[in-house]
Amino acid sequence: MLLSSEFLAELLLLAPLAGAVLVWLPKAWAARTGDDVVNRLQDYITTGTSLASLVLILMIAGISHGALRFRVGFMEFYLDSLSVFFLLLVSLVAFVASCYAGPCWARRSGTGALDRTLFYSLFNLFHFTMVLVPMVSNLAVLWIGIELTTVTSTVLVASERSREHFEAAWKYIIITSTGIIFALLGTLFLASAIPLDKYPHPSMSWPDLVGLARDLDPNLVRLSFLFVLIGYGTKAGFAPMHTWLPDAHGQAPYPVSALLSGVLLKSALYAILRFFTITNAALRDGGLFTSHMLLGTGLISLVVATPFILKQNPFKRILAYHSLEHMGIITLGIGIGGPIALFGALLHVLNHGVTKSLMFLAYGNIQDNYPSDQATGPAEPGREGVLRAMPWTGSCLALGGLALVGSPPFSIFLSEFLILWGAVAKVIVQPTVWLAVSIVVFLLSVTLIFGGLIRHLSRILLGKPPDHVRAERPRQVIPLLSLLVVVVVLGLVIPDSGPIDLRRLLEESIVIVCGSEGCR
Amino acid sequence: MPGDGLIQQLVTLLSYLMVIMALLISASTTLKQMVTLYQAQSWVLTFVVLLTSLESEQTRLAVALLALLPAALALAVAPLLGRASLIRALPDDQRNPGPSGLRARAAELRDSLRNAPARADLIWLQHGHSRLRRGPSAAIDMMLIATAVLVAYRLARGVEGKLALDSEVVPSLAVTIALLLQGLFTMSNKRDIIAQVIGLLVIEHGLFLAAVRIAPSALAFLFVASLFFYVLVTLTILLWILPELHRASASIEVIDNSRLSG
Repeated sequence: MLLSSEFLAELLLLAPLAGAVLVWLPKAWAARTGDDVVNRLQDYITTGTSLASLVLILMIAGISHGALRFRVGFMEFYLDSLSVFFLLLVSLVAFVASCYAGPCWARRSGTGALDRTLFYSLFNLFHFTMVLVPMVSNLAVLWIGIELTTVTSTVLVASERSREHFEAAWKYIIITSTGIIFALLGTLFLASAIPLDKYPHPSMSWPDLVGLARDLDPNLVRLSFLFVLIGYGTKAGFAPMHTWLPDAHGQAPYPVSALLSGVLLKSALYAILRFFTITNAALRDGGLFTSHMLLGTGLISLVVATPFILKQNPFKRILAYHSLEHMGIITLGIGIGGPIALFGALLHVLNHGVTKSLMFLAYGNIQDNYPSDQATGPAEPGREGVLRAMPWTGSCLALGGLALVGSPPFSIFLSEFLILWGAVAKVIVQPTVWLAVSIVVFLLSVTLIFGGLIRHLSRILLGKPPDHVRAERPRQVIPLLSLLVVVVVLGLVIPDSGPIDLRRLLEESIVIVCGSEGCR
Repeated sequence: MPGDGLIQQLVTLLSYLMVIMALLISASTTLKQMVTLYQAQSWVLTFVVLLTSLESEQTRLAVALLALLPAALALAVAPLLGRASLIRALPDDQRNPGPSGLRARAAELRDSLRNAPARADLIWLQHGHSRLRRGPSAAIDMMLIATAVLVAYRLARGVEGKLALDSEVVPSLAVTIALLLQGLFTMSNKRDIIAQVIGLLVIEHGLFLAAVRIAPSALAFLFVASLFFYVLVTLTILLWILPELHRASASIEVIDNSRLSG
């Protein structure tokens, strides 16, 4: 059959890679057509391939049931509901961010920034690496995928080539590449945990490892999970390894910030989830070991993020600290365990990815349209009165902000409520100090952060705008509105019909994450 | 294979030598000493990898191929770090993206690498200081090595007295963890970004060692391939980010490259 899941999955991999190559073609015609036409073509290619990715993943989600295992050359790919769920997030955010790549870079051309073609190409390559991660079957290749995201995104973070941008890129690559070494060692320890007398031809393929998990050496599996949590946790932005996050997210061009915060952090979380399943199946302790580790990580992230969100900081840094908070909440949800909290945690992955992209892109509109640039200091003078000067963007920022702090009826409220419900349900059945502390810290930090962000937002949204603010264009507003629709719809209902059966996808993902041990 | 025992002992001995070298790197007071010691450590690792390739017939080629990486680093790291140390800052209005065209860029890179270590000598003698004094630094380093040894042997004991790891792997595991911790300590204890990169490269040596000594031989090729990809990160740092950061800030001191905060 022409439109088999396998064929669509191959196209899904190919689309952003093709985009990365194709953007170089129009440059060859620059002498004949002029830069404007070249840039427009590159813009169409980038947006077009991202849209193709989104359509392809929606088609795959619609027709595929069960796991799909296939080979392209010597590489094995594995696509189950968990992969499809993460790919959906990658493709959605990448498409919306790609709509802003062209306009964002147009304003930065001629300022010593990276060549525009190279920027487009790297943007597509970065997209490709994030598509690759949830599709590979082999855990060592998964590591290569995550490591490639670092290489491409580092150049994008520094793409404006100023002192601050290089500093942010430096911290990003030094800290995450140190972390990634831990992750490879964790993968290697897992390989060493395979009993070679029983399995003389071991494989690092995830489904194979899940199959033989009961025979793995438990001590090495524990060490492996610890290293993987530190390693991929550095990339996921967990505290205390998060120090690169506010700098990189704060300095990157805003479509890249949207990808970093909305998707890249989750790619690392995806890797942790794959090891989580194997570890639980190997230890057969009812998920106690992983639960303690993840609860601890989540709590530290929440506690560290809160004061920085309350502080007067540039707005993009505040958004970055929000990512730390939300990654903490997701980790807490996985650590709490049980079907309700896990459902909430996975839903929160999607909700946070979409909402945070909305916020970064809306703020990017403000950066582009406000006169440049009195606006780098902590109080960001000159960036006031957005609601009056840019009513559409201002409204999206206001509603997105309310969604981000967990107000009803937006999507994050629903997922946070589910995590809390899961925690309370568990504490009633199995009361532990850890769980009780988690609930208290969770509630306290969410309440404090609510007040903090509202204060920051009112500073930007209200007041008198400066003169000469450029008017919003439809292209700046329509993608934001579409993200806002997703944020509102997901707050009211988990779709189980239409283009995608999200409920089924989430339920199947929970079964995959819980593994043979089941969720307790 | 006959002589495996001897090779084993030699490899273990050389691995311990790598830990001692990491200790000396951490205790160095100048970048020049650090670079020299790092190069020596790379050559020792190259030798360890080559010896390991003799042990297993199955994966001989893959493992021997990995020896290229530490050997290449031993040769390239001094010119690359020298180039990064020498780069001078230009005012914003004089900055340009550099020559266009691959050939022109390659020529520029070749020129900048020529005699770079010799030209960077003075800078390397002026930098490389630690935040802590020698005594506490050495004490922490020794503690980290002891922790690594304890973790490795605790793991080897396994559960119910059953060995979790082959006994010959345990020293390599201890050395891997020791290099990891020592590299991390060097990164956090040194005051300049060149020394921080050397700390990262020491950690990388631990990873190389683990890939050839700890990974099951049937999977060695996979991990060796992963390391070839990891070198992309190292090259991004050495060829681009480090020189550009120095150019932008006009300093290799960590404190001058910490403007972003809050």
